[in-house]
Amino acid sequence: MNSSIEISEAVKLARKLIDRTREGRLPWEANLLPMMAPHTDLSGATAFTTTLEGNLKAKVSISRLGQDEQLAFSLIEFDPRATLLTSAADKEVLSVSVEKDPSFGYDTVEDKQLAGLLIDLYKLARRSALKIDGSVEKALSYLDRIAV
Amino acid sequence: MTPGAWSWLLAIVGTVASIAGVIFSLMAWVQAKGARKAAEEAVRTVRARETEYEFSRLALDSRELLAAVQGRQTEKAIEAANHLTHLLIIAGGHRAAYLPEEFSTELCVENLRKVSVWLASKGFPESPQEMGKLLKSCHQIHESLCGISGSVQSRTEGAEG
Repeated sequence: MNSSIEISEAVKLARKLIDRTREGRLPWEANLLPMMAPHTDLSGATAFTTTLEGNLKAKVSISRLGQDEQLAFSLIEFDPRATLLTSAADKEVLSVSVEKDPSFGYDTVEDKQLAGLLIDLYKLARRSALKIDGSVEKALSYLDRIAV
Repeated sequence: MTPGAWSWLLAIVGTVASIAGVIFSLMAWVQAKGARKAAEEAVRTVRARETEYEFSRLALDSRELLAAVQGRQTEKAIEAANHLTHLLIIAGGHRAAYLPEEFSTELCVENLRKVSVWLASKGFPESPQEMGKLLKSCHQIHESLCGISGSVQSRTEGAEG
């Protein structure tokens, strides 16, 4: 259960992350499990992270809990010098989660607002990590080229 | 008294009379303004009372929805949800100025619609978890409507006191 302070902080952060990502200033990457090979297909990834200042990163993800889909957002402090062998545990300084589409509606207006923002952020982060815009551009320019 | 002195006296009397006229007009205007404010305040109080009454009726209707859901009476629950949605859309529109800021009529209406659509298309949920969510949603609708009635009442009494 999220507190109202956590929700309001997450809403503020999500809004700015959406704006900066839309402006193309914030690259996201797929959050793969440590044991996965680097060339693993990213299209199935359901968690994405972006590094903010130095030792801060933001993470947005979708997970399935039985019939429901849960959106999660966290702000994480990490040690930028850590390696796989020396890695200190990441510290979640803010963590919220909300159901994506609850069968009987959201409990509060704030939950609904947060879910809407996290859905947008997740879609944008996924597009950024999978470099979808670049692929679409490439496809469009190829189609233009062969039309001549 | 010389004609010049008479004319001075008349001029002074005229000036005093016109100043007095202005003062009386001003006093009448101030009183009218006060009366208008009092009348507006009275209208506001009456409307707030009507809002409180209307939402206490809606709270009663939402209790019927809750009872129908608890009793697993599909038809009755759908009818209660639709009836409440209809009344809440109307009340939310014309009572908007008297409702607490934190209350969202839209969210309440949206949740009622979800309840109604789910029941009409799927009936009561099979899984206890989903049934629990349905009951929680109905309880929340009931609590919100009771809360509004109480909040409007306390605001009205605060304004009167």
